[in-house]
Amino acid sequence: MSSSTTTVRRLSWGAGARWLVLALAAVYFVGPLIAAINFTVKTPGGGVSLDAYGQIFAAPPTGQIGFVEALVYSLLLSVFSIALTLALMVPTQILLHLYLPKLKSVVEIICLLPLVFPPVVLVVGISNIYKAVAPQAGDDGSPLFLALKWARDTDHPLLLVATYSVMALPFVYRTINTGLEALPLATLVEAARNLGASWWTTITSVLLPPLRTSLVNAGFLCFALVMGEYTVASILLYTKPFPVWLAQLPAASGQEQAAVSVFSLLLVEAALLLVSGFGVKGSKKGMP
Amino acid sequence: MTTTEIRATATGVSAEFRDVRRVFGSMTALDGLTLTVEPGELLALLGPSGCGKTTALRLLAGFDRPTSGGVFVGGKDVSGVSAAKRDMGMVFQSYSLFPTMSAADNVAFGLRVRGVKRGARRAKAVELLELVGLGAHAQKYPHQLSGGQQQRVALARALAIQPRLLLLDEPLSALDAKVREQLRDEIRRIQTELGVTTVIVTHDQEEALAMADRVAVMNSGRLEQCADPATLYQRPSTAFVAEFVGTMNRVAGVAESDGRVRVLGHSVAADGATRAPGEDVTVLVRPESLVLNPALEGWTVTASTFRGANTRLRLANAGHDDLLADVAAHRVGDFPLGARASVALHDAPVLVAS
Ligand SMILES: Nc1ncnc2c1ncn2[C@@H]1O[C@H](COP(=O)(O)OP(=O)(O)O)[C@@H](O)[C@H]1O
Ligand SMILES: [Mg+2]
Repeated sequence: MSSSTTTVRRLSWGAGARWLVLALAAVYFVGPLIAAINFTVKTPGGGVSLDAYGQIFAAPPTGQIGFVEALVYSLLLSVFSIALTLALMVPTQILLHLYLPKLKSVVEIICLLPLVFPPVVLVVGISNIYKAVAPQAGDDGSPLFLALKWARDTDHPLLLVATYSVMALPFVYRTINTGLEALPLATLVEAARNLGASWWTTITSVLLPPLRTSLVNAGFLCFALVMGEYTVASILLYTKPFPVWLAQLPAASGQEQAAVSVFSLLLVEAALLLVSGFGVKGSKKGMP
Repeated sequence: MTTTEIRATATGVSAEFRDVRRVFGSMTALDGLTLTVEPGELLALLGPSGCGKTTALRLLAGFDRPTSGGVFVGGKDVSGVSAAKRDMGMVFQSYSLFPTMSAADNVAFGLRVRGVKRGARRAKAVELLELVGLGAHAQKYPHQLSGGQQQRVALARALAIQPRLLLLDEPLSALDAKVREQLRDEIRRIQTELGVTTVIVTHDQEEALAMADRVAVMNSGRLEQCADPATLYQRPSTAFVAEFVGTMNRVAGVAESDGRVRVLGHSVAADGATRAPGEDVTVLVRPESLVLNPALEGWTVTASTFRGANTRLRLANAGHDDLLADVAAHRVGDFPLGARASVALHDAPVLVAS
């Protein structure tokens, strides 16, 4: 009897604590947002105006690309980064889980390295590679240099996509690993092979659907990373990625800058909700 | 597709292991296995855990390759054929249904892979689910089905591709006793109906004897004996088989001439190695082969286990190992705990163990 009373009391205290934590978190996260919104709609006379938001779609004054173009550029960057990371990690991890379980810890350590080294170190490494293959005097560049030069081009920034894929490895590794560990992988693969499925069908029809939630989560993390990444893009002299573009808006229009931030934050938030809704709906279908 | 149609295309092929060895590092899982599965029969691979049953089955399915020796299906060496091309239906020990597919989609998977049109494979899936008694559950997902139902779906899925061989790796071991017995009978019924050559792996001797046309008893990667259940039980060829299948008493005896032994005061015919007359031997005798009679001296009843149709008594006697003896229900009253009994033998051949 007494033990059940304490359980109940502990539970109710637990519920109270949860609400408290939630409220504090809400203040912490929503507070600044409200302050920012407030700042963007205030006029010098004390009134309220949405002019700053109207400015977002107006052509930027200093020859910069527009808001939409910068945002789309970053969205595409994140899409390609997600695709590259998943294309690398999904087959690798399936292979590890099925045939090379002893190498799992080695690969895990490698994948966690980007957490240990700050992005700046990564950039230094990249620029050193470029320096090492750069043409000597009287030389017009090795094929490797030309390929790397091509990859750096701002119209198809493969270099940036590859860098972001590396930076996303720690998160992507974890989420896919968790998803795979929850599956009886070897049995599912053997069942599919036994029924005559090719490797391609086995992976796409049998293994990927139950991994959907993991993949969506991995995509999430990658997306958030790319949409907010400033250091690498700016040091490598890219101007189109959204965070760089935002930082380079003329400082005079502080209100407009804040409006762009708020607007893009809400946009990204909406995109995340959309994707998560999609992931949850998919996972409800067949998974316990 | 009716069952007769399935049958027409799936009449059994034979399968054969020829001196197959499979070595994992320092572990020899199969040590010269030679065994033939006859067309259309249900053969049980029986043996203790770790004796190589699963390894043998996986060699048939193509998930693994022998270190040496050959695996033949329908008389042809299949060593170069990948698992996906072998057309073998396998049911796994652990639940193996594809978690994001409904029961019907699971069953239809093998047909989808073979390019069968949607309508046709749906119809076949429903038909097979009805065959395993799950017609009403076609749209359910694996996590909505019980363990027994999942294994039924797995069976239907394996049968859908009209397999050349049906391979079952301890398909019932995760189920509780009642479901296990039910499904055992059902697998046997369906197998007989379809006539598909079937290999079932089990460590449960009762299951093997109840289901199989023939039982192959394995021990440490080798075949001990392959025979029909009655022969296996009544005329085991090795002590291992005798003691693994059912229960045996080890009784001291003395060899006589003409391959007979004297045991418990009787002279009986003996299987196994012949011995020089007068040599001491150990003889294996089943509890039901012992005949008890009330007596004033001799063996004493020390324990009694009710087993339904009969009761198993434990008997002690100074200078002898304990004996187990089965007594019919109507005679149990003659042998309460502490009662004395004389022990005789039915006149059937016994096996000399050593
Ligand atoms: N992939 C493997 N690697 C190493 N040893 C294995 C492997 N598969 C099976 N073995 C070993 O081979 C022996 C036989 O295994 P198995 O065929 O699974 O036995 P059973 O199915 O009869 O219980 C066991 O000792 C097991 O440890
Ligand atoms: Mg096994």
